[in-house]
Amino acid sequence: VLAHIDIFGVSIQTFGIFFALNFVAWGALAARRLTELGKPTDWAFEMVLAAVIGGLIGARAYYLIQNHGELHGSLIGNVFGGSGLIWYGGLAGGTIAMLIWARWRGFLGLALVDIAGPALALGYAIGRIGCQVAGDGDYGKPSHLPWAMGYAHGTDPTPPGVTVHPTPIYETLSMGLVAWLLWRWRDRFRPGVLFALYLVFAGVERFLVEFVRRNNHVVGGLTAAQLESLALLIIGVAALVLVQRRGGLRRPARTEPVEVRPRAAVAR
Amino acid sequence: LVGTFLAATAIALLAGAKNLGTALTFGQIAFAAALVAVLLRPPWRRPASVGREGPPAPPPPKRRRTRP
Repeated sequence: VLAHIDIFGVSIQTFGIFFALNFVAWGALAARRLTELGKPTDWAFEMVLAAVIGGLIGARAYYLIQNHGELHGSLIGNVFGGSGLIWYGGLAGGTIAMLIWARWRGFLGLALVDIAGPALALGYAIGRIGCQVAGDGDYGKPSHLPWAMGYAHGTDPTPPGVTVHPTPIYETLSMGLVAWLLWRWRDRFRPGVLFALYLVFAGVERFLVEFVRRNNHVVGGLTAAQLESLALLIIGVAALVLVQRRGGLRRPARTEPVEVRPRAAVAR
Repeated sequence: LVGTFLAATAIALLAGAKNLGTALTFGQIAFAAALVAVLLRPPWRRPASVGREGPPAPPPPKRRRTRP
């Protein structure tokens, strides 16, 4: 566990490094896909900028809403102070910012959300490395499994001698494989399906991993993240069912261009 | 990807990682690095069977039964 590193006397949070790398990686992936779709590659940088700003605002706002009872001092001080970012808040804020950007660019459509699917999964996988390295409290419940470990020097340390599930490792592996799978499938399905699959995979992954994480139960023995995961899962499955009913999930096969003759010539 | 993860974990263990969890963290980082390399691999370095091969042909349409 290495919460921060010193470079030439400047202390840099390791979580921040991987947080930045997450945006770099998914921006590069989005640029690759935009090139394949014949769109300007520069749009990827605009997308990343919009997502960073919207994501940070959303993640921080969601944290402040969830923890408003524990906050002290001025509102401005709480908004700009210290740690406290929540993934689902960032997802919501980033999505809103991206939609505004896409409307401005005239790129608001299913192609955009399909780009976001594998990119979000990749970014999540990389971001979780930051959680693991910094020991920021995103680890799991106490465990005595051979790979259980302590985060005694993390930003949110475990008690001395206590070992817990290293859940950020589980999440990097699972969402990394999801990113790889979705990227392989990017030309296989009709528009919108890839993002629906992302919602399903991300929902299932988070729902399952929450059983070994240390978050508090909110309703029916489920955590807030599990309820949000269920919502993602339901939206994803509903979208898949909708697309299936409207002509199938798979993209129709490519056909040779057909020569179209004028109707009058055919009539003769 | 999985091979990279396992290899990096094994190397970290052999290099004296404090525990298996710490070694897995090195595997996690190597896995992510390999994933980025695979996803961002230029098209000309990608095997022909991967990615842009296009969708397969759909099954033939089912014929409706008509009553005599």
